[in-house]
Amino acid sequence: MAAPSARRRLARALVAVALVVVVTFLFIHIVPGDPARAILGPQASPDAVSALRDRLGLDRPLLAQFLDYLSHAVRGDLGTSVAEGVSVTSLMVGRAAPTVALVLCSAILTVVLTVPLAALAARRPGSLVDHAVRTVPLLGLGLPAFWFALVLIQVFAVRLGWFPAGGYGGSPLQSLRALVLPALVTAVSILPFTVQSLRVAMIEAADADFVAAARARGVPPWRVLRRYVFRNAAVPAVVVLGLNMGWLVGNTLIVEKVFAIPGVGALLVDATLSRDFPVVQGLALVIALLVIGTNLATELVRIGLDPRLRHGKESLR
Amino acid sequence: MSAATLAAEGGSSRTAPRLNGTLVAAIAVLLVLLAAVLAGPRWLPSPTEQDLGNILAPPSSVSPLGTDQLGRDVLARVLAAIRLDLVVGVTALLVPLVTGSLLGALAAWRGGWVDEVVGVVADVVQAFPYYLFILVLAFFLGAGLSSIYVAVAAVAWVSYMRIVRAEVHSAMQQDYVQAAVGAGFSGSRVLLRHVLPNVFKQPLTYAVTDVVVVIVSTATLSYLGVGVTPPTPELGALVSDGQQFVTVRPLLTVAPGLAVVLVGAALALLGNGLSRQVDEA
Amino acid sequence: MNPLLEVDGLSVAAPGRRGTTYPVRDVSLTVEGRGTVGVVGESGCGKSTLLRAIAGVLPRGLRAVEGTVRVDGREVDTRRPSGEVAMIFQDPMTGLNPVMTVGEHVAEVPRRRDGLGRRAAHDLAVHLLQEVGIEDAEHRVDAYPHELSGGLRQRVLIAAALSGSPRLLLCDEPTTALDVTVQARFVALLGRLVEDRGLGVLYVTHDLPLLGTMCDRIDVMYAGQVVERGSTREVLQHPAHPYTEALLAAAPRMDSRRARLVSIPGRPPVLLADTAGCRFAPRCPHAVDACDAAGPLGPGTSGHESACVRRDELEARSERGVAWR
Repeated sequence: MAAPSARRRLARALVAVALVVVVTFLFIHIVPGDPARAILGPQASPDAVSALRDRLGLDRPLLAQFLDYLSHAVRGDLGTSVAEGVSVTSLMVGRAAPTVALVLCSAILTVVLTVPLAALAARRPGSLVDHAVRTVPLLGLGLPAFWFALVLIQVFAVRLGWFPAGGYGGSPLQSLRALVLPALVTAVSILPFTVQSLRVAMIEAADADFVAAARARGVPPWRVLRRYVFRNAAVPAVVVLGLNMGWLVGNTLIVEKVFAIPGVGALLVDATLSRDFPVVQGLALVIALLVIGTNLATELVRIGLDPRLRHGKESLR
Repeated sequence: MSAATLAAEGGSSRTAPRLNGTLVAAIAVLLVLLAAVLAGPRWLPSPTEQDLGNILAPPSSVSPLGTDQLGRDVLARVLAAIRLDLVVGVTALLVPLVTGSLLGALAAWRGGWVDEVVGVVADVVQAFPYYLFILVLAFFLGAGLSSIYVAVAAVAWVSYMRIVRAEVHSAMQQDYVQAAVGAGFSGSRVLLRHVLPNVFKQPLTYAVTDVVVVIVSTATLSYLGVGVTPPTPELGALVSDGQQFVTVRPLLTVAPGLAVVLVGAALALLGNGLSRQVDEA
Repeated sequence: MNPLLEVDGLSVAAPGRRGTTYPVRDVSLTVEGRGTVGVVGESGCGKSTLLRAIAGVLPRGLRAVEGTVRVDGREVDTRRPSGEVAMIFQDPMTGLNPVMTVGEHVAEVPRRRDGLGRRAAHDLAVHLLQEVGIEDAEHRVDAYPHELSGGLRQRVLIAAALSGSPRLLLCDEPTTALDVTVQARFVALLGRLVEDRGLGVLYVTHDLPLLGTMCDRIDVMYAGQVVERGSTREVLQHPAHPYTEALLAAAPRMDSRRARLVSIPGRPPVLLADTAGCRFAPRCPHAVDACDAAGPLGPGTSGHESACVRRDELEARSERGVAWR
């Protein structure tokens, strides 16, 4: 398989960023008919519609509109919320902390759950444990995050009272407690992919000649596991985790809504429901840029982990 | 026979019967579900028929899962919703399956700038999380099934493109394809006759698992109120409806949710079993 | 005094779909200190499995079910490495961990197992790399495996193998992936190490003429069993088993890279449960009814052992240079 060099990856990410900016700009123009009418809905008065057309500058040439959008976006100005009357950027910044905390907790929980499960399965491929570890996460594929969240709330918050049923804030410890259930929901949603790929990678690494050679010459077993098996299995596993970050972020949108976490995801869902276009557009742009950034970071981490990919080598064996 | 192949044989001999077991179980569950969905309407009241004198009834011989806040039969509604979600899941994927596969084959076959362009467009699409994309589309197209169809068509092709691209790449390395090219057959003929027949299995088996993703996202959007609109029974909408009565009648929330899990699990196991069969074949 | 390595009646079992197979069946052999013993046979005859069993690194699903392995008279557990034996593999790329530098490979055992300090382990690594003939060892210690040529990688593997001060070196076709000149230098290096360090070497290959240049004794393996054994000269000049003869015929020139066994008709058998008699009989041009009752190794006229029922006949004829009919 060809492994694009860091520079080529970077170039491709930049092109993707440019396209994302264009696509988010075009969001409002892809619908047939009048975008202002689409935002305000069929009940709005013609006056209100023309006022909004004016405010969004929809009557100017497309290119002028785009340059305007671009110059504002570059300066961090993503427009003003129709519903709340404040700038989208400040709205977003105010909501960022819970989302960042949730994504981080989810990613950590994913790793914490994936590594032992995959190791357990890879220890004896074909065994009952292996089958269980491979099958159960598959069932999680059809587990809707919103429903799983409701069940967890009923059991662990309402009945047992171990965790709050929702919300976020207070002391750091309280916030962390509030994130346990949401993070569990998002982690479970990507577990099928991560466990599967780490398991395969570990079996491949464990069967490699270099593992047998190391064991034979007397390298201590724990070190063989860490430096030979895990270290080599980590490369594909990191890639899978990184590529699934988009899916993970997508799920946090839903999870935030169900757990009433005042984050960016809940903001987006609410903005969609209340037809607050500038907020939807601005959030789409920022989230897409973050996902591109994550994917790029994944590639760079992969190159860092695998010496064969350094020095812009295109492909090896 | 080397030690390694012996070990591999030993391994697969232990997994093979169990693998078939899960496949058979998945197919059995799906058949039972299909039978229930198709036969249900014969025995049960209409899923939209209200009976305000009999609201939030507990399970009984007439209504095995009780009734909802408008006295509608819950089992009938869940079965109708399963049917709707299955139909959406399958039909919504037809377009991306075809476009993605064709684009993947094209990208691998032509290489160069075609490959680059397809790759960058895929990167851009993947930069928008699935739910974000669907929410934005729902914003413009309004709530309803059409948003889901458009969104799935716009997003899901990327996976098929990547799968087919990789498959065609490796197929083109095979001796028989090299031989066909060497023998002077035209590019499209080699692609159609020698490459595509050998790569179509992978995207098809992946599609089985992908149906689960579409069903779950349809349910999620309907739960949020931007998918299927009431009174049409849809599994996510049913969960949302039942949520306010969760303490009195938990079945209203539990039943449709479990239905999603059951359908999803059966399809996921089917897809997984099929892909393993394909890999081994 | 005990021999360095003594394998006695070793059988390795692989449970499988159609019953248990035995990649190694009732094999006995010995290697003395400073001795080099070659094991020759087609791929799949069980020779690699034999080595892995001795090293205690059998692949998943395989286990030794009968027999013993003794190093210096002490029995070792075939389920885990004993630390007295090191092993080098056929493909020098897959034998090295791609994410570790050369120096990390070589310094690892002294540092992690034997508790040497960082500095001392590093110096030892450089020293070992020099010992195996790597020029510019001070700089090569920081290279990654993919930055080295196949011959250099193989030397690094040897240095890493020597880092644990093993008594015995197991070589699994280490030169198959190398070209002929590199191969010759590799064999010379191995000979030097046997002399300098008093190593015992068990060398496995399908290249019979190669063994002639380096081994004291040769064991010929077929279908999991040793079918002929003797001094190198005896085995090469007076083969007492039709399989050995066929191997020699298939590799006419010792410097040839095309030393493949293509000219032996048929395939090695699937090593299912005990089949009585000679396992080579179905492919053997000289098979007779008595082959069905062939026993284990027995001494022939010239003093080396063969499992063939017609060994005396074969030896006698090959001595006179007359082909069999």
